[in-house]
Order: sequence, then structure tokens, then C-alpha cells
Amino acid sequence: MEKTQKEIQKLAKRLLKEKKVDLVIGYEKSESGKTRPFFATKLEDTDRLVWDKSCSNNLAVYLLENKEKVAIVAKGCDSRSILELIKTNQIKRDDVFIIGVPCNGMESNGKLLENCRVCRYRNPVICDVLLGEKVEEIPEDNYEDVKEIESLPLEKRLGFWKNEFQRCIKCFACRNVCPMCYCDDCILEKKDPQWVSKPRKKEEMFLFHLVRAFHTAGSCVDCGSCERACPVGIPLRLLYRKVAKDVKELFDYEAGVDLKEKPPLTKFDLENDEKL
Amino acid sequence: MKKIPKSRIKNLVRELEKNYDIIAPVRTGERVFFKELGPDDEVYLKSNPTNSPKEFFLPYSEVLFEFKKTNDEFELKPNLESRERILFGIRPCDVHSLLLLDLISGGEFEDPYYKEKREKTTLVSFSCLEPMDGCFCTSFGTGPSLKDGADLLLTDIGDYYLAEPFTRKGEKIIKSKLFENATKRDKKIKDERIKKAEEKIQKLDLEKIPEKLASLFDDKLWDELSKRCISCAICTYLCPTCYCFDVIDEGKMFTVDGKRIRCWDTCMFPSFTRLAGGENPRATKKERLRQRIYHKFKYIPDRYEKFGCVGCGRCVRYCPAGIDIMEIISQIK
Amino acid sequence: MKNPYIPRIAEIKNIRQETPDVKTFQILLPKDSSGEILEYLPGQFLEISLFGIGEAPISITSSPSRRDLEISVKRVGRLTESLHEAEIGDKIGVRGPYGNGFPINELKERDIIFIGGGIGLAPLRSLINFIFDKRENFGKIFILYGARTPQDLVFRDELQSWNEEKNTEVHVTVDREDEEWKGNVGVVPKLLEKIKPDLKNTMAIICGPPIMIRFTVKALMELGLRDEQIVFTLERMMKCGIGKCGHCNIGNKYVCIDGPVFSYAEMKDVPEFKL
Repeated sequence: MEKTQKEIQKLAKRLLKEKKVDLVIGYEKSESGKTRPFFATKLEDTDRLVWDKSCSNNLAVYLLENKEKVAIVAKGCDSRSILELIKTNQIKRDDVFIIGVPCNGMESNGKLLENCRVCRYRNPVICDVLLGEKVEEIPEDNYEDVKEIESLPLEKRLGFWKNEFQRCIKCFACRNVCPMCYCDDCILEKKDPQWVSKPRKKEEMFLFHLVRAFHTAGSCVDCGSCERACPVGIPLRLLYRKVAKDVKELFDYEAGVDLKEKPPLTKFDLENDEKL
Repeated sequence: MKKIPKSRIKNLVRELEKNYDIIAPVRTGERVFFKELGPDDEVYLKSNPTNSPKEFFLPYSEVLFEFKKTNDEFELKPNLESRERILFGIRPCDVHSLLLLDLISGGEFEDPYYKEKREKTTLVSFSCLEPMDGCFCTSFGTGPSLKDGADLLLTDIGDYYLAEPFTRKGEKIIKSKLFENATKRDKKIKDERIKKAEEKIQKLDLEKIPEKLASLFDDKLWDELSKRCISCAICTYLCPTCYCFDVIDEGKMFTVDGKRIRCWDTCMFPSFTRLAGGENPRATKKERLRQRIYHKFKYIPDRYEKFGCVGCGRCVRYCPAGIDIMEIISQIK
Repeated sequence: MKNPYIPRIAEIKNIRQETPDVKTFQILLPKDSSGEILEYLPGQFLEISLFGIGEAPISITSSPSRRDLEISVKRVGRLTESLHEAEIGDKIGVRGPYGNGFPINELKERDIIFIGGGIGLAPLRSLINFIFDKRENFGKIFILYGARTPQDLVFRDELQSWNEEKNTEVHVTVDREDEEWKGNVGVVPKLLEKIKPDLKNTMAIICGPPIMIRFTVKALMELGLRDEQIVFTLERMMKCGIGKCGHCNIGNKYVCIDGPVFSYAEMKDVPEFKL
């Protein structure tokens, strides 16, 4: 991985020097050893770029504010988010230079992250340059966690989620860290009409999370950023993976894989969809 | 000065439960939260909980009053009824946060809701012997132990906790038969352990910070620092000294009944300073992040002669973008 | 201990339409425990509640030297929209008065230039009428006022009667004229060119949209006024009115308790305040 890190730095330097981009979004390490997003604009900055097993943030979210002449370091999941953003016209393909990096999974405290354990797209699905050797992909979907909770009776499932959601403090970190939550006027914050009010009411906590789960249906790539950002440890991935599993079964669609494939909720095929 | 064997802490809690509601750190999965102790909950003292104790004095949402219209007249009923409770396991940094909140909620217009809860709460604090990631109490003089501010201070001295009462409420608790007499040697062990704990924590000299900040307002370091920020509310909601709130009415238009509620708000959301006409003096992330730093390290010290931060480390531990408020401060130095 | 969050119940006694989106409400408050209706200073504001909708800070436009308590409200948001639909006899909540008020002692024996824009004339009116009720204590008075169009000018009758007062000049302007308008056209700061105050012994009081305040302060400084001679009201999001909710925090000040009236001398060292 050290070799790849040097290549990232070299490439970033070249892109900035040749003025192909004004900004390179990558990762750096703080003095205390924490890996976090980094925005390189000057040539000297590029020496701070790192690449190792702690680069878990999905940097695609920062493309929503930096839409032009930007290069971005992208793992498999990040590249899928970028593809979705291009598909939904949030960014233009030509405005972003994707530095693709194959990834064998990120770690936290020496342990492989859960979403990395089941990741089907370890190699970037879209990129301008691929740094590093391609890695082996897991051949099959693994929805064990979803199946486990699906098998519970309704009352138990309801109890499980009620218990998890009650801790939510509506910090909006899950939404803000997600590249696919790009709405200027988020329904969860609207006052007119108001769907979710400001105080933390039990019924509304359910509504909040279910709305987000449905609104990200067909665009969530399971990068895991939302669950990692959540300060109170709500198992958000479980919910969004359930929706992703349903989308796959109902529409045979996966987010961020095929640029030409239209999102399932944006099209209606009278003949073929009748079976639904 | 007394002491209590560690094995008896459970018994102490059960004993106190008879007369008080107990709020204490409880482990839920991999996380620890302050919560009201239920019948199956066990007190967990090995790490500072994710949430701050402020939510028990300034709740996430609180009814200020209920209003009801009868025969053209409005009746307003304020909501001021708390029960006696003990905040068991609060750490010195969080105790200091309450001391700051006391100042802020006082003044010309005293906040009766905060005051009432504060008066009904007994603070049983535990000294900190192991700092967590992001802890900076020694820079603010808010830890790892206390000289006052709580009602009772317990410090781990091996097989026992040394118990030092600071108020009558504290003295009442140690009257329990669960406590034994402590010796001068016990106190010595405590002092040694506290000293060892202090050495584990990085200490920054913060004296000139408000001055330095005065000259850095337009510096471009705020542009760079704020690029990572995702404008969520984690830092402010977990912060033990952040107190900003929003006030909203719930009810039917003009008639019948409803409530006026106040709930947590955050300067990190764009809507915090947005006026009715649409103008927003802090429309960008840079302005909001800068406001947070200035509020805690310049504006609050200007007004109250205390920093608005107690070094608890929560914002450092939980920021999804890796923004470290103490790293920023040490850069400014 | 008094609970500062509980409003008093008041009644709307009278409503006057000033412009298409501004109404002046006369409020009837019952006497409180000390027999007072409401003691206030010009420049202070009230927190007006419509129970079920919310609460908003609104400047007092009446003078404490006169009998009626009045507020003028422009229709800009949810609460003000609902308030505009209220009728005489409706009950509203009132908290206050809050804020520091205008520095009346610093105006005594001096010439005063009032500069107002749009609805900004409302709090100035409180001070202007207060001064006219004690006219001998103050020097020459200049009232410079403007709005976007002639339709948006508030208190037109009083502007007329003020102009007829002794040792007083009133100048009015609009940004955009209509067919009938025969007066000045242009921004409010330009009206400064029409007056000749005794600059060394003058206080300027400005109230209006932030951009107008900025240009006016600059123009006054160019005329040679010192920082302490320039006073204005600051407009920020305010909620609780008592310095607790944090919304109006600017620098180490709270607009609701340290302001909303500030002198330029106070504000120029506040980093977030920009001219």
C-alpha cells in the first residue's frame, strides 16, 4: 500500500502542476494518527496524501460542493457513489478526475469493516486511472445479516428498531456524510409542510429513518459511512441493506454499477412491470 | 474522609435507588450512555459516556408551558416538576461543564427550568485515571480530579474508592454503613494516582488564545479547516457545554390548546442564523466552524472568564470528518 | 423566581394598515402586579406570541411618553403572516420589554439625524415621538427616510406632521418612483447631502436593512462623524429575547440583551460585524 500511496502523491502533484485540476480530494493523517479527508490545492500539499487500511471515509460526498476541475481518490464503493452522482446529473463526468484504487477492505482497530467483509466491488467501477493491481472480488452477495432480522416475527423486528431509533439525536450526520443525499431542501428538515418536527418524538424517529431508507433506495452503495458516523451506534446499514436487497430482488438493480442503467424508480415499463 | 470497597458500589447504587432516581453510565453494546438506571441496568465506570450529562438539565426537548384557550381567555401552565436524583459517575470535566452552564443560565433572566433540575440533582463524581482519545482536561483545569463542584468525589485507589464529600448532600451519602474510614495513606495513594493520570494527558497553554483569535478572524486557515466539515450536529449535541436551543409551538392555529417546546439547536446548521427574509450571516461552513471555535475560545471567555470548553474530548472522538478542536487550538498557538 | 419564558396575555385593541404588507397593532395589556401596564424605553422590543404558531421579536413603535402601546409588523414569515390575519379582540402573548433601548442621555442638547429605511422607521418613531414630547432638551432634528416605492413608505401622516415641528427637517426618498411621486428619488444615504447638521455636536441613529446601515455608516464617517456618534440597530435572528438560546450571538455580545442598539464604536471591534 505504500507504493500506491507514493503513486497517488505523484499523480496528484502532476495533475495540479499541469492545472488539469484545482483540487485533489484524498486522505491524510492527523498528528494524532487519525485518517481523515484532505483537500490538496498546492503542490506541497500532495506530500500529505496517504493511502492505507484506515482510509474508510467516502470522499464522494465532497464532490457535491466541489463540482469542477477536481480529482478524487476513489475506492470501489466511492467510485460507485461517483457513478450514481453522474447518473443522477449531480456532477459531470468531464469535471471530475477519478483516481481509482483497488481495495482489499478497510480496517478499524485491526478488524476488517463489516461493509468491506461483504463488498462485491473492491475494484473501482469507473475511473480515469487505476493505481495498483486489481484484486479478487467476492463472487456472491452476502445478506446474512438482513436475512437474520427478516426471519424474526414482526413484533420482534418492530421492538428491535424502536429500541435502536430511540437513541437517535437527529444530528443528521448519516444524511450529511452520504454522497447520495444531495437534496437542497431535505424533506426531513422542511417546515412547510412539516413531516418531522424538531423535538425528538418516538413516532417521528421511526419516520425519520424510514423516510431516509426509502429515499436512498436504489442509490445506497453500502459504503458504511452513515453507520460509522452515527454517534449513538444505530445499525443503519442493516436497514439500508434490507432496502437494497429488496431493490435487487424486485428490479434486478444495483446502485452505482452501470452508468447506462436507469434508476428503477425513475422509469416505468408498462409491459414488464405489470408483474409487480 | 471515607472509602468504599469496589465490590460494594453495586450495593451503594441499590441503596441510593430507594430515595433517588439514579442517572449513571450504562453499557449498551459497544457504547456507553448516561441514562436513568432501569432494573436490569448495571453501572459501567470504565469510560466517559458518549452523551453528556447536560441532557438531564437541558433536555433535548422540554415543554416550557402548555396553553389552553377557554372562553376567549388563554391559560398558561408552566412545566416545572422534577424528581430528586443522583448523577452517579459524572467525571470532573462534565462537572465543570455544569458549573459553566450555571453561569450561562443565570444572570438577569434566570432559567427556572435548568435551576430546578440542578437543585434536585446530587453529583457523585469519579476521578479520571485513564484519559480517552481527545481528552484535554488539564489544559482547562477541569480534571482529572476535582477540588469542589460536585457533592461527592470518588477516586479509585486500588481495591477501594476514596470518598471525599464537598457538600452536605455528599456527607449524607457517606453516612451509609457501606463506607469505611479512610486513612492518610489512602489520600496519599489518591494524590499519586491523580498525578500519574495528569501526566498521561497532553497539556496546552491556553492563556493567550483569546488574544490570538482576535487577530486571526480573516485568516484563510478557516477555509482550509472547514472543508472537511459536513455540517452535522454531532459536535454541538454531544458537547457538555453547548446550550443553544430553538423554541417552537405545537398546537392548532389560534385556538384550543398546545405546548411551547424548546429543543436543542446547533450553530452548525445553516438555518441557525437564517432570517425570515432569507438572508444568512453564516451561510458557509467556514463561517459556522469559525463561530464555534470563537464562541468557545473567545466570546465565552470574554463574558464569563472561563473557556467554553472543558476538554472532555467528545467532539474529537465522534466527528465523522476528523476535525479536532484541540489540534486547531494548538495550531493557532 | 419569575419565569422569563411565560408571556402575559394581551389583546389587540386596534389595527391600522400602513402599507400593503405593514400593519400597526395597538396592544392592550392588563396592569401587572405593580399596577403598571408596561414600562419601556424607545428602542426596546417585545416578544409577541401567537399560541400555536410561535413567537417573534418585534420593536415597539409607540413612545413611552404616550398612552398607547403599539408595534408595527411587516409580513415576512409564518408568524407575521398569521399576525396579519388577526382581528381586533384577538389574544396574543407578550414578553418583555427586552433590549437596551436608544442612548437617550447621549442625545440631549445635541442635533440628531434619524436615518430610516423601510420598516426601520418603526423603532425610530418611538424615539422621535419621545423626543418631540420633550423637545426643549434636544437640538435640531433631521429625519431622513426612504423605502423601495412610495407604497412602502410607513407613517406618512406623521412624517408630514414631524416636518411641521419647530427646528425640524424631514426628507423622504424612494428607490423607485411611481407616476404620482414628486419627491426625492434615490437611496437613503444620499439624503445626507441635503442637510447641514452641526457635525461636532450631532448623533446619528440608523435603523433599516443591513445594507442600508452599512452604506449610511460609511457616508457618515466620510462626513466626519466619530464612531461614538453613530448608533444603529442590529438585525440578527433572535428567539428567546433573554440571551439564552444563542441565536443572536455576535462576537461576545447578545443582540437581545446587549443591543439591539449599538454604537459603531462598540461594533467595529466585533470581528463578525462587517461594514
